[in-house]
Amino acid sequence: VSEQTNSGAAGRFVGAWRYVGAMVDGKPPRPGRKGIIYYDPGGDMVVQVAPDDARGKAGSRPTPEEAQAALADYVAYFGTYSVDERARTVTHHRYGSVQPGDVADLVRGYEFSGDRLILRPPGTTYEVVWERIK
Amino acid sequence: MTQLDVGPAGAQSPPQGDVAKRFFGAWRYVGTSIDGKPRPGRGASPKGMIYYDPSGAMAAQIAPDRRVKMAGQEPTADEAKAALADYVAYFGTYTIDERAGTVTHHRQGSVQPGELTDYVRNYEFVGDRLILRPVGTTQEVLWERFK
Repeated sequence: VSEQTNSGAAGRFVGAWRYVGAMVDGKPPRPGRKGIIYYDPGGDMVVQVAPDDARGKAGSRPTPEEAQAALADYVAYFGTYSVDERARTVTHHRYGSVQPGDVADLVRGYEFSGDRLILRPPGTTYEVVWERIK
Repeated sequence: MTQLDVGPAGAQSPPQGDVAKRFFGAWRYVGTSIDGKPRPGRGASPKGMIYYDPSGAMAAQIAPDRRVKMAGQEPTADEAKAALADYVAYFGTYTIDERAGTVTHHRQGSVQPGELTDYVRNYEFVGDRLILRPVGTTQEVLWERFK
């Protein structure tokens, strides 16, 4: 990791946050999800959010259909992050993700509110709320 | 909403002691061996990290060194199966049994379908590395402390 991000606003990200919930248009779309996001002082990040419904499998390895169900709504990726204080955005530069397809950067507007961190994908009415793990 | 069950309101007290402190923080995935040979299935340079929070929360993720392409917006069943193969992603809480020399990952979420059983690992610290050995196997998972 080449860039040091633990100064200024970036320093407020450092540490682990528990998933509280997500809102679309001010309403929670999917209750009961659990998750954790971690921002390392060195500039690495990792996130996971799991749906609350159990995903089973009949055999020792998942069938294609079981795998498809298991991936649905599951967020799991990691990489590095950078903070743009002027734009008030944090960008997750992903280098691994369980979801197939491109690992494009994810840009999020950020807001700190008390012990909470709110992340908003630009151009959406979506927000994801995190609470600092104590 | 349901939350990750850690901290003062959680079901267990935070890990304490000198051994627990050695776990705290983030570790980078170095590799996995079985019977002393590299574990097949994850390509030349798989990446991953594991994080142990002082509160007792933990999260682990290992991605194989390959990208699975997707033809459409949502993965097909075959694309999903390929993406899921050999990918580790789970999180929950952890407890340490110093006498047994084990750390147990109490999983609350995992991308792999199936029952969320606890994972018990023998641990060993060597320099800036942490070696986790699934109990009853010849497997070793090697982690290196973030610098």
